[in-house]
Amino acid sequence: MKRREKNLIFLARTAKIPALRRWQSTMFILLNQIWKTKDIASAMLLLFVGCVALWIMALPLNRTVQESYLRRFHLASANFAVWAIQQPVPAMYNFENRIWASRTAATAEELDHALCAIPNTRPSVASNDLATNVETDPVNHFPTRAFTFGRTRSFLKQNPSWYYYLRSRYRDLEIRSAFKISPVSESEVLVNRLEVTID
Amino acid sequence: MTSVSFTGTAFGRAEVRSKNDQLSIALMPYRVVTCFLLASLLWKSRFIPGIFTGYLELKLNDPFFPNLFSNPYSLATLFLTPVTFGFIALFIRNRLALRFQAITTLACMFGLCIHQGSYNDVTFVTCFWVSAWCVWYSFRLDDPVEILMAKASFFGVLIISLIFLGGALGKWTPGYWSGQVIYDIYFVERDFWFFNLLRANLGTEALRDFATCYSRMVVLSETACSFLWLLNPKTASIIALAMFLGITLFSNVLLFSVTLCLIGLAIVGLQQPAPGNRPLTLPVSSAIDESSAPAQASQK
Repeated sequence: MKRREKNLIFLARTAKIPALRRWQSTMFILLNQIWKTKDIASAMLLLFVGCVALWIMALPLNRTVQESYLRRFHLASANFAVWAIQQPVPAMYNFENRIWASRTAATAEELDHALCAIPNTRPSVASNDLATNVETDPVNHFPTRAFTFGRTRSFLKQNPSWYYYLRSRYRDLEIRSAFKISPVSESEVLVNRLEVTID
Repeated sequence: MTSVSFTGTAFGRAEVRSKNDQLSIALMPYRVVTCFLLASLLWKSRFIPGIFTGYLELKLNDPFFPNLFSNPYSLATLFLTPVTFGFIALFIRNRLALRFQAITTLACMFGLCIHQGSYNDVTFVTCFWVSAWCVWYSFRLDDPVEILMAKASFFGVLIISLIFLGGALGKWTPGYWSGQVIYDIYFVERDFWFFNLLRANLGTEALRDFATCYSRMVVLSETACSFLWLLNPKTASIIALAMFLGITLFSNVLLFSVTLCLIGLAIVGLQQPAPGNRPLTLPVSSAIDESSAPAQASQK
């Protein structure tokens, strides 16, 4: 019996917990089988999943990763390629995200006031008639969906001038973005990024 | 020449099978997963015509997105290609064609993940990972069936665990732990049987307290499920199925587009024989010998 196989048996038998021993045995045999049969497809899938898992697990620990995640949610990555490579990373219902929508530029006080005055309105982007100048709503992920998502195009077509203020928060880190949507023609609107701040 | 192999999984009793029969058995999980992947896309498809016409009527010119990934026609192509290829894959047996189908589907899902009209939809993220499993599987169709099923179950559960991990760690934030985020999104106005029932029977304070419990349960259960890959695939698959059905039926049935493809992966895990009879739980040395034997035979 080869030394490596002896080591595998030893490790599998040293586990005290039966379930752990079974799992160790399964994992070692699986990895050994992949190695022995030169199963490149399995090795690549394992590597891919492992790299993405490491990236996700770095989220609570590393500020750079947190910034990268938050910038991704606000379409504020360094460039499209940097943003695109992160897109397959699962991030459903991540962070505390909120949007504010307004027909005119809003001040910080107005945004705060909207939060206090109407804490739980429906998404303002789904309505042509705002009750007040600024309305706000929480969203599950990707707050930029407020103006990029399919349903909102019909509202944008009727009222093409909008200001969107977005905020995403992960623990003590917060990103704020402001966008202005302005008409170019009857069939086109332009997205202008007014500011992105992260602190 | 027809080669033979010894199979003993839930897909076929232990008996001598021809290589053609082995391919038939090996194709079953692939077709199950493809069916559920199609179901995910079709569940989403009812929104696609409206979205497509909306995008045609009004272009959102955002310099961040390249033209290709803000064009409505490319969105339609990225969506319809995997649907068409998926239906074809249910009826073909050619390995090369299946690999082409799987790789094309994976590429289209990635395209949908980065298109202006679909990047925010988690459906295409889960479909991307299920497509990655399909690509891997299509390249291993000739493996001995026992080994293939064991690996397929393991990788299926591993991908499900990754999806839960991604969902869980982004919720490790005070807003979710206090329940405020979930309360605002779901409990205040969401028109769904479960939340309507709660609003009808609970006062504001009690509803807020319930939201806290609900949110903490979501955070903890998703975190726990990110370790599913440590369990026996069959047990892990049963837990995953319960989670997916629970998430969908108790929060939003539209989420079936997100969960159906993952349910397909979990079903593959259910096909594993009960613990104790699995080939990978045999003593290490004998399992290595058995698993490597067919590969050596095929090399000869």
